[in-house]
Amino acid sequence: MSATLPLLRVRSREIIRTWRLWVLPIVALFFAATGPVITRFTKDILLAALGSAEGGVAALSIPDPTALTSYARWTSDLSQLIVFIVVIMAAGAINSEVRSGAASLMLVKPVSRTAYVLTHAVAQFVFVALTVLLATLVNWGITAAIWADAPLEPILAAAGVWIVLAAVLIAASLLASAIFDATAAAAGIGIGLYFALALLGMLPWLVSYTPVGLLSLSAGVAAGAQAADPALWWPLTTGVLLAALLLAITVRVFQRKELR
Amino acid sequence: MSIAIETTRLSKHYGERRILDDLDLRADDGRVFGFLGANGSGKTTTIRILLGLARPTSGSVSVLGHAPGSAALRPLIGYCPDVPGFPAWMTGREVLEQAAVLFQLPKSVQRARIAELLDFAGLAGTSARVGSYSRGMRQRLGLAQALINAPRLLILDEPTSALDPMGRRTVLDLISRLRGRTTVFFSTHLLPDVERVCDDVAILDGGRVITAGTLDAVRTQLGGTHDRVLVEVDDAARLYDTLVGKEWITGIDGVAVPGSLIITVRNPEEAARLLPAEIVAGGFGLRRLEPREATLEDVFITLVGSTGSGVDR
Repeated sequence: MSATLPLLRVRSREIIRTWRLWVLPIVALFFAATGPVITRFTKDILLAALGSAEGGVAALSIPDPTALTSYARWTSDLSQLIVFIVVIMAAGAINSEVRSGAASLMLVKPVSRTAYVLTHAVAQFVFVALTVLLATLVNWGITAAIWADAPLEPILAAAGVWIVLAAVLIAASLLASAIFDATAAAAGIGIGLYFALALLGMLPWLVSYTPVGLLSLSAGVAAGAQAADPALWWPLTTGVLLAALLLAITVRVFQRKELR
Repeated sequence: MSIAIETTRLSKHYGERRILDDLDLRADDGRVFGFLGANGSGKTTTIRILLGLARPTSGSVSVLGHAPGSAALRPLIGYCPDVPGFPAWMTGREVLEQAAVLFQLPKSVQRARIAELLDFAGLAGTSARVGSYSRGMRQRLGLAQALINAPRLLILDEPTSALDPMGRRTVLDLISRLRGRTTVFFSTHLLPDVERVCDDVAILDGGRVITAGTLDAVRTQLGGTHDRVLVEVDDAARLYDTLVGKEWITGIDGVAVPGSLIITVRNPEEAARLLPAEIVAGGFGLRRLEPREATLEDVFITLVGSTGSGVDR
């Protein structure tokens, strides 16, 4: 009765036929494409604007930008801008359909509530992951065009770490979407979790062994401060487990939820 | 006759608020069942429980012999709420295609049924997205998607509330045609709809069934034809003036037919002697004099008006 495949097709078509297709890819590709260029010329622009003579910007000794500087900028954009679009998308996924009555009309048919929740999660995650991977490749390509020695591995690894962070935030936002009728309230929970992870990132033990480390490790890997080595496995593994746990709770909550 | 829907002492509370109160209901297979009640009487809550969208606080529910919301039951039912919600980005055809796929209908059946139902809903010619549909169009599409699996039980929540007279007639004709093949359970407060198509009715008030049975049985329950007489004369206004205040008359109502009065009397046998005498004495030209059946509206207003609760449920 689960109807998982037909539901996945519906979710995919929803992404393709609504604002979701345009907002996230456009924003991600814009920042991915412009980031390396801005990074390359930021120092020149500052020098031109503020002067390079004694007492000017030169005194601040800004280092020359590199490919890793460009990567750090991209992960910063992911974590400070793209992340909010991801949270808002997931926060409205379930409750908007419950409010409109579309969920109840679907769930009186041979569709399980488990499949209903999980297909939302899979569709959101795949869409975000593919978009971010594509944008990351664009970012690498433009970075490589500016700095010929731009390595692919750090930025791909950083994007991979960020995608696990996105999975945690999507799962948390879906849970909030199953609990709260208002999208704003659900988005608040997702964004609140994001800031909580950022704040807890000040505790080294949590960074090393829990999903709290995903945010800072993504930036660290991109900037070359953290090697993409087995030290990442703890935050990655616990991140995936946390996302799975949150989804299991979401399924349980939604199974108990009374629909209008 | 087998039972399509049966509830026993069904209750639903939200905190201190009692929405359904020991509701006993029985709808037989293959019949058209009208579920009547004022706004807030508990109709929609009952339907949500029958569909497994809400859980009862206590009591038992059986739908086609299954538990509400069970995997065995879902392929057997069709449902249309009063304001159906669809993904705004879909077209009407896509809504039906999605419903057909979820019921895992064979491709050939899908094609034939979608074409037939789009035609029924009057949406065959439109490629607009559902988001731009009027409420009436949504309701027609809602009915179409409820029929996609040729259900054994069709549950409709106020199915004609947003329809124009033509759409309403189409839907009521359809419900009549389904009689015998499909159990139709529909809630409404539009009593003429019920009188037109229903075999059985239940009137709900304050979360309880206050009367139930066949339509005729419910109508006659309040005296039936015994205490009402329809009189049509050449001058109804003068007859009204003549009769008003007579002690054997308890009420006089004008009706839609010009020149007619519906007279409610204290004692039918007494009225059978006195009313013709008044008509002759007044020199009225008599056109019609006949017992008048109590309408469902009479029953409804009498029952619900006497107990009347009025909260939204």
